[in-house]
Amino acid sequence: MPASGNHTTVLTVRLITEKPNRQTIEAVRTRLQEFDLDVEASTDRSIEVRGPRAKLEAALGITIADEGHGHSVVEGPDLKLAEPNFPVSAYIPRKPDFF
Amino acid sequence: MTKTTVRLVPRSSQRVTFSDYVSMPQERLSGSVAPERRSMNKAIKAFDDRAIPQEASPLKRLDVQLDEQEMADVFGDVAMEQHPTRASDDRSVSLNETFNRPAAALSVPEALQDSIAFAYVPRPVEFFAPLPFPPIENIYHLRLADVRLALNAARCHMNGWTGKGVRVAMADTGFMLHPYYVRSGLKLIPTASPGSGPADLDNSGHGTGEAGNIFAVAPDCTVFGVKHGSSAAGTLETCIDQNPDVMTNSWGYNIDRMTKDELRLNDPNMFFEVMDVEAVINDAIQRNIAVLFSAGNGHRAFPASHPDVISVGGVTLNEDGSIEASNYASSFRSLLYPGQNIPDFCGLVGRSEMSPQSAHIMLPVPPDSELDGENFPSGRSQSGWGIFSGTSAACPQTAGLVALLKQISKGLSPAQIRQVLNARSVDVTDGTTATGDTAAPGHDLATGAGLVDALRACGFAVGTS
Repeated sequence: MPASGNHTTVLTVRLITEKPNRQTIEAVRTRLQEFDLDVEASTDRSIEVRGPRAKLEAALGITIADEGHGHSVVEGPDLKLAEPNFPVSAYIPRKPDFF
Repeated sequence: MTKTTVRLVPRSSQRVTFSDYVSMPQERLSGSVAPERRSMNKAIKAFDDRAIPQEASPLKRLDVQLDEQEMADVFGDVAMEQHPTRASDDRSVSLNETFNRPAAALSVPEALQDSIAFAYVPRPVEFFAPLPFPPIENIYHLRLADVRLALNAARCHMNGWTGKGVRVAMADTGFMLHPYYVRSGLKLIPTASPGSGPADLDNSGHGTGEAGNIFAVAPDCTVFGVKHGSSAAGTLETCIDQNPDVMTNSWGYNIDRMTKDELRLNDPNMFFEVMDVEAVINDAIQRNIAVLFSAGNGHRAFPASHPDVISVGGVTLNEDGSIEASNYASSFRSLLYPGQNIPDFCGLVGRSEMSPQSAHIMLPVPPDSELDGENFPSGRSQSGWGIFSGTSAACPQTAGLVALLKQISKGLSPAQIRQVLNARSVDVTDGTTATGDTAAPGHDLATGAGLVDALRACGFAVGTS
């Protein structure tokens, strides 16, 4: 964390679709890259995006809330894409328990 | 071009203060304390004149990075030789296998001799690794060789069923190439997933340790140790990318306490995560990958409750050889997936009275990790071993057994594997789980079909049992 205390939390958001579609996924990936976000993992069903909260909210059309135990997507996404299949949902992954 | 680090040591040992540093004009210098000015400025200027990067250390030495030509310019013709970093391959670890060093002492250029006492090429340090042998601790526990015997895998190995040619992916906290694995010749491949960082860095020790349970049963399989990254679904996708026959997971979410509809209403973020993880697991099943999850340690764990997942609970092996349902392990009826009972069957797990962490199995962990020295009565740490268990141990044990089955018959489906293990596990008739279910003769909620038995399962798979 910088000495100034201006630490920006980087969050991960996963976008998932019920209907796998590589073309749509690629279109979304390209769109997200315009926002200078880290789009690291994708299949033909999902995309994982990392970046600062405000930038994620703006790019994905989501609202993020800090619920104490972690962040959650509480509204959206709204990517305003022509493709109706993607995305159907967005969430912020949680850390699992190791048994 | 490869560069060599050379460290120049000044003649003066006079201590300097921070104020000396801030008054110095050289912007390249960094650190809280600068080199002694009078003796080092000349050297700094000499390298500045050649545009050679340099960095002053807090103790007034100067490090410079020189390529081959620069070495010749400054120190004359210097013969370099490759030298091994480590004395042995299992008592220490180093970031480099070899390093280049000059065959003879470096001659300080005449122009610098009044300020520089000597120069040398630093050798990469060795990090002293833990022993490959587990230490002796005065508490009842199993060693990995005991796990092999207890699950009846030793005789499978004599039959040639060792997991050879089978690929297992394990998602966990990280996987250090512990000397136990290296000395044993076990094939553990640390693998990063999106957002995970270095896969061989395991601050917890959980992944490094629990992987030993796979090899106890299937010593010849190849294990891809996939370090958890920024999402569980992404981590599982990385596991699938390794083209495994088996996926073993000693983790989960304590959320199987409501129906999916209720989850969607109460925690939509988690609901979508469940949907995502579920879809990735379905993808694995469609590829004929056997997917195993720990039932949990008193948790009501998802994804263990997923209908196509093989869920593994816990049975304790007592000192007198008797077995009973572990009071540390989970058993429950799923609410997320009505009709699903967890576990399907069990591996070896300790009891909760032993310690808060259920001491039962001595496992290799990175020195200084959270589980280093866990449950050692001696209090010893930094040994690179810890005694712990939970259904986290039971699941990879069972994954090892599945690897044996996959060696015998690569085409076995996850459903067929479940059938084989259901048919040939050892019934457990005593003990009560952490969630309050008591074992009884026959299939029961506490332990499912009972404790897995490698020889009986493999014999069934080849038609001899």
